[in-house]
Amino acid sequence: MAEKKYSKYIIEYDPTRWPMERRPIVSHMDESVAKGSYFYIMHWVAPGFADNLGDFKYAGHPPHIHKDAELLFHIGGNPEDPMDLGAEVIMYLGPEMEEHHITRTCCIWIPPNFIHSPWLPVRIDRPFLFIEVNQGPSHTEKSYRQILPKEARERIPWEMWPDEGYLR
Amino acid sequence: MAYKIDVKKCLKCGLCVTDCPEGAIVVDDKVTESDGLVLYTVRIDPDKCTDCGVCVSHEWWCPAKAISKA
Repeated sequence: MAEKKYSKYIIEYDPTRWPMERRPIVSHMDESVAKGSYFYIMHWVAPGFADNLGDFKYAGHPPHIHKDAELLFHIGGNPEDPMDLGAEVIMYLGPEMEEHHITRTCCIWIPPNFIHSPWLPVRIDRPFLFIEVNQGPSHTEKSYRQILPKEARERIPWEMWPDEGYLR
Repeated sequence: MAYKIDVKKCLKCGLCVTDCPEGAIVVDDKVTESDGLVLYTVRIDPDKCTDCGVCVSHEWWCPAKAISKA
């Protein structure tokens, strides 16, 4: 397609910058992609997504915080019932790791510095869209491994989840 | 000094040490566990604290909600 004046505003995901890993990402935006953009990631969560997580209760992204508020949209793909997520996701919230089972289309509001995760899809009947919206220009993260049982901490590949944007 | 740290709630993450604008939250002890986790025992230095209230200015300034008015 011929390049037009505003073609630069139509942005496709660049898999050479961010590998797909196990999630089929469809959009990744931040200030390095478009000046002035906040940090967003959108990906599908399809059947099989969590197959390699096994029976580990604390599998998936370990407990962490961000400097900026975050919105976690879970959007079901059932046109007959848009509020049906078609899946079940376990999400832990707060320093107490309060357990929530997400089965409906929703947005989880994560205030700045609020401890959240693991986020663990345990049943996926139908693909759903997951949109991560950070209300800041770049990604920040600090893990809270101390709220996990010690035996769980030892099973987590922490190199996958480095702290970012926080002073040590 | 108008604020206190609840040591039972404190997760020893040390975030308050870097975020206090007056540098009034100080490290008393630092322990590195076998898996690399670093834990900080902290306290409020009454000589540095100006009672500015930043540490309770929003709900999760402290991710453990361990700081409150004395």
